[in-house]
Amino acid sequence: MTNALPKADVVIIGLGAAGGIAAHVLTQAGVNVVGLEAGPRLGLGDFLANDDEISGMIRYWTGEPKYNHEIPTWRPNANAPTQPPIPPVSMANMVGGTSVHYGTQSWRFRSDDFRTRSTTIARYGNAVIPPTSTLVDWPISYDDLEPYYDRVEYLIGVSGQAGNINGALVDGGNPFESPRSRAFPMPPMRSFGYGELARAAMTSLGYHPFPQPAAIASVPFDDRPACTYCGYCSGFGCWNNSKSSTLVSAIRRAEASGRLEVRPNCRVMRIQSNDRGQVTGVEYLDEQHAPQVQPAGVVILSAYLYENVRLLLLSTSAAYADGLANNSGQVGKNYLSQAYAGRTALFPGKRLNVMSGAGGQAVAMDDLNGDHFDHTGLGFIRGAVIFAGNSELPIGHSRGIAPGVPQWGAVYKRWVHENANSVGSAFAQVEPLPYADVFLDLDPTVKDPLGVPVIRVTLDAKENEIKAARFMDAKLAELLTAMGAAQTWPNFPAGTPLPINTHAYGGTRMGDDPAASVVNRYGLAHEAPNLMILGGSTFPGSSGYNPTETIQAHAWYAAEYLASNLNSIAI
Amino acid sequence: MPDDHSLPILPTQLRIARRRLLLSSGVAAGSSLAAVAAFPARALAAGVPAERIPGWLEFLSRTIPDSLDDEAPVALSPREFATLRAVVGRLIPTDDLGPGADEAGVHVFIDRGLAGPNAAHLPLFQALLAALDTGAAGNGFAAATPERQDELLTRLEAGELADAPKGAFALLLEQTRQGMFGDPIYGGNRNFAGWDLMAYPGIKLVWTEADQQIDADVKPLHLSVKQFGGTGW
Repeated sequence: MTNALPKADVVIIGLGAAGGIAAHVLTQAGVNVVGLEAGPRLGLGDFLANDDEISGMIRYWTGEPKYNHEIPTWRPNANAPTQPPIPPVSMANMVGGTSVHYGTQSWRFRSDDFRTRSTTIARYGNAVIPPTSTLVDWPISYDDLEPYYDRVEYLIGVSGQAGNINGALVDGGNPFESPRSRAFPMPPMRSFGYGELARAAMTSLGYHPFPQPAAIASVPFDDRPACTYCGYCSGFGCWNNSKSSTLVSAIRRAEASGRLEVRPNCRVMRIQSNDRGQVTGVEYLDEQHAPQVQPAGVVILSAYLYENVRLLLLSTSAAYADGLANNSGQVGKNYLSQAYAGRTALFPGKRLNVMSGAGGQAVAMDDLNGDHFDHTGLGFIRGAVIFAGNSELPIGHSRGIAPGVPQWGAVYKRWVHENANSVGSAFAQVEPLPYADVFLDLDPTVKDPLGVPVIRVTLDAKENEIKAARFMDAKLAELLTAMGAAQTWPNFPAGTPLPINTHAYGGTRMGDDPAASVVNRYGLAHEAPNLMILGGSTFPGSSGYNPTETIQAHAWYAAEYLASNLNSIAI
Repeated sequence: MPDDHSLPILPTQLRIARRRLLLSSGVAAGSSLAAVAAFPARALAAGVPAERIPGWLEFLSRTIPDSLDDEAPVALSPREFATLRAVVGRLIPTDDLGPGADEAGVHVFIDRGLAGPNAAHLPLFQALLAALDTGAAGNGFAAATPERQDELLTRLEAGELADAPKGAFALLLEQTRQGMFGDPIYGGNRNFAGWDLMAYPGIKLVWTEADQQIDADVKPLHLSVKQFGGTGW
């Protein structure tokens, strides 16, 4: 028998980008929080000791405590067989979650990203929306989130160049940016040689380049030192304490308040619910793998998207035969995975020195994102942010060989010798649309080492995203050529489907209609009003941007609502 | 923020080591940074299933012998190991540009991986090496002429080598690159041969603005994660 622990005001499942922010907001409001984190608590020494490409980018040590053993399976459509196992992506199971090792790109979405359906129809009519797409406007607006973006940027520490402060454009920033109430708390990341090539080329092509916003200390911030541009950034914890993870910002403060109890290495197995459909607590395995029950007035589910959906589907009860908060059948629906185009380019004889720097240190342009250009006749809607950065590493460079060059032997070796430091890249991060036939469920046969079914992804590349990626790929070739490249080639076929992704959205869609979504604007489940779900899984759509800052701003918005209404929400 | 709140995430030893590092500003190869973390051991304690890293710590903690000839395989048989050494030596050969993958210990990297995190690939590698030995006939692949070896590898790459498992070449090539251009702590990239080949300076904790300019000539530092308390993964 398992003895129930003393009841907590709020229990948070997963202390990552979203859960870390929620823990901070709640504890500042005086709420006592128990944080259950499946991974360990790690520190700077652990990160320095793993500054190598094999552990970080190939063996994915940060996902070893959990994610690497529960990789979702994939099939292209509901009639296709499950495909052979796909390699893991870079996920972190630790206190701070993937915010510890992310690339730090810290974007706000723009106002039209929250109104994609209505803005698209207003400009182009209904017919341009693919028939199977479930594209919707969000139930919240940019203006709802603006104060929370601001708080996130100033709490965790984001470096960047403002483009629009209260409606006034600012030179050097993103002219497409939606108005912000004040500048970033830190100046942008340092300029660098390859980035200056990109900036000049973008300008010559009529675009509007700007330094990409980054959740890194560009100057000392909050007693953390400035970035040293070591190159071990995306996929790595920061040994120098410059990366603005929730571990070193929000969670650190929440613990200092004395109201957050972090329990690392605690793997949640199930969320309990009563006959009235309220959640009552969570079942988990503690550090010794002993089963425990943590009762709580409110449960916040803020694991990564796949685990959010999986835990809901696994947490069946008398009130929820098909999974917690899933009597509507909406859990797992409206899944999206970011699409990309990427090009490598050779700049013969130039030492580019891009095997250095920070993930967020890049020059970006927004001219081809969202609806910033006329899509008439292009055959797709929405767009991509385009960026050129660094933070490359040697094994990656050993693979980026020009077409026609032998993949091995003396000629390969000479090519690497002469060109490895002369190869750069540029990427387009394409906004995917949601579709009715792209979804998540539990795999009927594949299980993790604890015998728990893994998530199954049903997803195929769609025409809209393939066309968008091909369009962007051609723009990348133009850009890299304008930068001085003698030769450019695609990293992968544009529009390749990515069934699992660190930029994934949906599955517990946010919306006003309980029949077509899982949570409301505050992340509270329509069916289980004391269950809050946070993270990219709540996004009704996506954008061309990286999602983390929007995940964090929404977590702040939702947690503040919870703190203000705790007595009526908690049981 | 009071300083003591950062203590749990900043081990005292590392704090001292870092201060020493920054003061010395040279990040010199000789600076004796304390081993501040033994992550695999901590991960085991933290609940990572032990069977995921069978005997892994033991291999990693071994001192790399001075001579590659003293290396004994830990996953492959001695015969397979010798074949693999000859194979990687053709994939990235020794020439006037410097050591090839065989001299850089890439076969050691691959073998250790097959005893650890890549254990699932061991049967595939064994079948691949057997197919190459069979294809070479006589005394096997390692004894064949370089021309004959290249011919067999070309057939393997084209999927035309009898009894070679499907997809084996891509895996072999990928792991050869990992061993050649990955951190030396895993047994390959010996004496930083791979990093020198592509002018990667090695772990360089501080890149200055000048270092990041086009055509800046960044000198090799020859630092492995081992110098920073790493144990490999």
